[in-house]
Amino acid sequence: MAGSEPWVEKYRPQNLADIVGNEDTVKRLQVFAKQGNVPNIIIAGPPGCGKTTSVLALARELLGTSFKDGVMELNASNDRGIDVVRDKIKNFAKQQVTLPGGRQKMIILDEADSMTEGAQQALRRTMEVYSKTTRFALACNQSDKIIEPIQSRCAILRYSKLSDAQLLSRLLEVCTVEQVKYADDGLEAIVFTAQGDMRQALNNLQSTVAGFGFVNAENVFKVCDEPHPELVRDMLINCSQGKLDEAYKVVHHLWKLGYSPEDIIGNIFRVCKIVNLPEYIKLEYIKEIGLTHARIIEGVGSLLQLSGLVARLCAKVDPKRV
Amino acid sequence: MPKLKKSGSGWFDSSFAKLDFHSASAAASSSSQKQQQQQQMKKQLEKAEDSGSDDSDIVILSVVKGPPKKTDNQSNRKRKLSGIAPKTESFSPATLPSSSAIWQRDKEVFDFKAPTVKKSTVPLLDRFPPVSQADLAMHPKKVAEVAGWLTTNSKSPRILLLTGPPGSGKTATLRAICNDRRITLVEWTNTSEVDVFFQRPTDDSEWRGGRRDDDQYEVKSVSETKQFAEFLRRTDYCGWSQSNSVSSDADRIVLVEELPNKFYEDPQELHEILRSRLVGTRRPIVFIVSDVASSFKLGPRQLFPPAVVSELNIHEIAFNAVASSYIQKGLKRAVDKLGASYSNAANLKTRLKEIAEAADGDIRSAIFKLEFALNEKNALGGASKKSVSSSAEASGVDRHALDVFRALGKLLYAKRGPKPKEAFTAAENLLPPHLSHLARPTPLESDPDDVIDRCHLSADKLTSFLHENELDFAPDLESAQRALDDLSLFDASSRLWDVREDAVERFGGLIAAKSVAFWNFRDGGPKNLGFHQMRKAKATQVRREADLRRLECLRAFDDYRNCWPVDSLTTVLTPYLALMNARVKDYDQQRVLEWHKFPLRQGRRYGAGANTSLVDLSGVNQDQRLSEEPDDVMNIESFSDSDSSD
Amino acid sequence: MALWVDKYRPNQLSKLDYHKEQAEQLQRIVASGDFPHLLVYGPPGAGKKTRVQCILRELYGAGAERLKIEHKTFQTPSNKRIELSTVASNYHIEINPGDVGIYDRIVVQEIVKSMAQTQQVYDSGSNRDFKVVVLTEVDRLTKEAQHALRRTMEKYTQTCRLILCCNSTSKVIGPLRSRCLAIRVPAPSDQEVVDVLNQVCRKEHVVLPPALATNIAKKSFGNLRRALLMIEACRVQQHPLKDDQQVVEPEWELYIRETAQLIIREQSPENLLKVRERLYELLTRCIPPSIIFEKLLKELLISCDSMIKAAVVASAAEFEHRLNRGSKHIFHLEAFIASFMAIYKRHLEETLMAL
Repeated sequence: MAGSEPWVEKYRPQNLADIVGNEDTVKRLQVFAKQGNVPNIIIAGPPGCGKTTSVLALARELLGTSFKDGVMELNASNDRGIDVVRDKIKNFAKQQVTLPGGRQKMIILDEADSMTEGAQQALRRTMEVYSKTTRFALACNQSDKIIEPIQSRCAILRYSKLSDAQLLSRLLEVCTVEQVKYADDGLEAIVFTAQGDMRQALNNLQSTVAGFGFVNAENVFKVCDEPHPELVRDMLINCSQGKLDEAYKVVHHLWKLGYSPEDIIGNIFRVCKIVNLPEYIKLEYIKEIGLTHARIIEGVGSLLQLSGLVARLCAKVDPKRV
Repeated sequence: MPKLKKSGSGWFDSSFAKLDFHSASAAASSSSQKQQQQQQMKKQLEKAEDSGSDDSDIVILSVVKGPPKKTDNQSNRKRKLSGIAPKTESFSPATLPSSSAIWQRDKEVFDFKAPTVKKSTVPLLDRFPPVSQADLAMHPKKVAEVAGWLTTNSKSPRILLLTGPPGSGKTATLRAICNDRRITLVEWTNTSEVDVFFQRPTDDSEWRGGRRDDDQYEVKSVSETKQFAEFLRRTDYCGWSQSNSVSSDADRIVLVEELPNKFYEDPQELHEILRSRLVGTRRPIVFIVSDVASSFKLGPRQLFPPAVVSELNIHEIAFNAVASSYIQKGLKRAVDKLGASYSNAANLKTRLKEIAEAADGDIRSAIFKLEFALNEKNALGGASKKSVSSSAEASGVDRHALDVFRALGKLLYAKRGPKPKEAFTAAENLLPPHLSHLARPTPLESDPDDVIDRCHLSADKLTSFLHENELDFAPDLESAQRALDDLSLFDASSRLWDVREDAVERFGGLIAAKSVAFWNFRDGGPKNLGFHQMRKAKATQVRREADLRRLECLRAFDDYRNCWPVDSLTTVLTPYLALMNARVKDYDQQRVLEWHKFPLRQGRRYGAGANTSLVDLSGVNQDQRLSEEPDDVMNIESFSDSDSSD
Repeated sequence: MALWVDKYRPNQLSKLDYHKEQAEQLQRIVASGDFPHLLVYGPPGAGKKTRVQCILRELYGAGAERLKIEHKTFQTPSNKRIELSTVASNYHIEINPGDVGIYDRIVVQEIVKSMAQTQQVYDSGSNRDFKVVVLTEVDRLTKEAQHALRRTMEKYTQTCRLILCCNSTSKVIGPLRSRCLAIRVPAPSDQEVVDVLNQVCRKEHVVLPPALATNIAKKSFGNLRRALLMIEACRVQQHPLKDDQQVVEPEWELYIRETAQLIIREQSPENLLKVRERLYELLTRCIPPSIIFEKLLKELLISCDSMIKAAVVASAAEFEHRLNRGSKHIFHLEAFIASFMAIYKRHLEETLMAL
């Protein structure tokens, strides 16, 4: 069976060399690790592209087995008491730790963009004062949530989301080790639902294996609980030909199956990006999808809104409604 | 009920990238071996870490420390300097137990050599700080301005405020000048601990929806502000309890760069303390506050509003972003000190120029990029062959990243490939006849999705930039109108700001990019704009200035608030007061009235009108640095559309 | 230095110059002793605040006119300090909750509570057992504050009455409206404005030519504050006043007019860029975007053919709606102007082709 340990953790790369994606940046980190002198860094990127993994691997390569003593990791969901968190960083920075070969301690701040501005402001001083003995590594989703003075004191590394090929290669590796039975379209489906997020991909893979044993497209979509893209693609093509009734049937069917409006519209968006339609139509369609999405988030997630979307999509090609 | 096609292969359209299964699986099998090895090693390490026995400790230590070196003393000294305890023992390889594959492997991975000059433990940023004015990579006029303030007599204001973007050299300049003149800087440091994360929400947080800037500060920080007040009081006296030397007062200056956190939440308290402690002070005091564009709360306008500045007679010197030529000077100094090697002088100059341009006025950022550009052997890589470089290349990190202006260029120029693709043409033919004039002959060279991914810009900023520059690229009015309409669409998608932010982040950026790329199509290819400077987005800056002015106006005309609503104050009362040249109560009010001089075509009705524009009309991104450029203006390379894409 | 507009403001209900019936009605309400909560609304410059002052005077006598400005600070639950300036007398307090943004609920409740709970200082002059809290610009109150106000109003009604002031009741929630007596203060007619101008000029010993008076009345659009400022500005400009004297307008209005002319002159992306710079100039001087929009539209419509007026106004409505909902005002302003340019240009081309 799939085992009790999440594959995301089991197959998390321990060394920088094993990290998938963002090769250039990771290579540079490797050089730093060898040299032993890395600046303060901010790694910014979408979820699931390897930020935390890189930072941890870098720390491990820098400090080896002194990892436990020389590294402090804090993320936004960490400890309870404020005092604990507040004292921790400065005390750790002040502490003298025996580290090999002239290395520095490392403080890892995960999800750094959730730090308040005042806190970041205070952090910058600590970064400066203890720069000789301590390095900071911040990981975040959006680097503009980090204030400029901190950005100025760090090297900003940007991670892109993983490409489909990269996801696929990793999935194949895992499949081989775990001896997973799969069909090609199953892995394609996982890549489609993951949207460049490795964590998502591995979770979906594991869930499909745990639930159905065999990884094919049908099972994947069942597990991920998403409408099958084919249905949605047909719906879009019907819209582009003005066939309202056919298109509406799909929406109605999905609604009856119980999919949530957010999922439906997310799926429609993703399929719309890759479906083969004229450029102008695609542009207009994505606009309408976005606006409907906003309404759904506001709270009006009803069948009527989705039907309205479909109707507007059909109207885009109607000569009487230019 | 719609029928699902049987799950065969390739239910995705051909436009979906065909994933290459074969080569991937080949690679997989070899790397799966590696996987297993890795798993093993991981387990080993864990076991070793967990087991507390002495044996395994010694064994692992010996691997980590490597062979002994003759330069033990030197490395020890270096370690002392860098604040790490000196090595006390070393093991020779002979004491290692019989080598198994795993020890060898560990030795390769964890190979620590003692640091040398080239591989110091001190970050490059701090290794060669400027110690005298000659070392500074700054415009000499600015340096002279600060130096001038330091030498003036006691009549002039004794409080100095330095503002400017981060990395513009404020602290460095001050320290260098003080070093030259042997002036001691007495600096205030926060003694309390660092507040890092969100504090616990209070009961009332539900109705506020947990907004980001609801900070709460603990009791500790109150005493910190008291300590700050104490500090100010003590430093005003001639007898200093802190320092040992007995030299005269003139040799000491107080520096405050790091303010107690409480003041960011509650600037009023800071103002009160300043008023009570600093009025009539003789001691020179310097405050350094960075301009934080993203946050008003942390910036100098909030901490030192114009009212306080005038009341306390504070002298303000604003630093601008450092000009590229000066950054290059600083980089050259770093290169020389490091002893980094490079192929030839011309090459070096180009490389440094690339790095300096990419740093965008922030000298720290430039040093980081230099650090990244140095390869393992401490040599500066050669200049790239392309005529225009990307900042990512200059920083030598990521070939695929795009800097902002290149990304904008790709979207706005909207170049299309010369050859039509079959699938694309087939899709375009699906357009109904009344829309066929909107068909495009060939697909775009750069996919907007891809560009957005690579440029790492938030959707908000992207739309602002696109909006600012679109009109330069729109081929005709209709395209401009459609593109602008799309840009404005998502900003109005919802009344609720969090829904709106989400909508803009997810769709707004993509729509803006696609729309601009679609509508900027011209039959004969993109407009040849020759050398074109991308404009920086001004909308948020204008808005922020307007908010500040409104506050100023409200404060200045406090006594009119009784009968005048805000809008009438700014649109009726103050303009008419200005027109009547009315005598007003104080300087604040006068300053507000000054705004109502517009750059009208017929000139003002009353009084002379000089260039009264409050907004820089050229809107070019050099506007910030104009005052800082030296006389030999750097020639920015032409960003023409003959740019070879990557 | 007192402006005419403040110097000659009536301070008693009996001295009001127009809407005299309403003034009598108010006097009766005050006299009856059963004073309700009030909601005073009407266009700007119509005289709402003046009437509120008069009512207070009627209620409490001259003591209500001894005003002092205070700066109060409030502490929010998150320990943030908010400063607010208030105007108060012994019998009432007036605040503008719109100034504090999202914390208005706290501020309003604090003020009302404190007013309601302190005993009325028994002054021989007044025989009221309640105090008054005046809230101005109520349409800027957040919905939370308005909802919180409902209960507060009811709870403390014994000792504290509220007078709410706003431009339009559409932003005031129904429950609040139903708890108040609505007093609608319409804009004065042109003739009424002229009368007031004449009165003021007489007191200032200035001869006011009737043509100028009518001109000013027309240009002030029923905003008496504006009219009085205009006449004073004219006086400063030229003394004695002339019949055909040009009425001064604020420079930003002239600027907008020039902008409109620029738009009419040429419709192209390059020109739009110039217009954008002008919009920035206006925005950065705190001219509210909605007012820029309104004025610009008015100027543009003057040069519009009746055939396209409908299309232009429809487009304007759409963009004004967006302006209201969104946060990047310049986007919507510009998009509207682009849309206008497109409509106008198309119309020009069509007319030319038809010739």
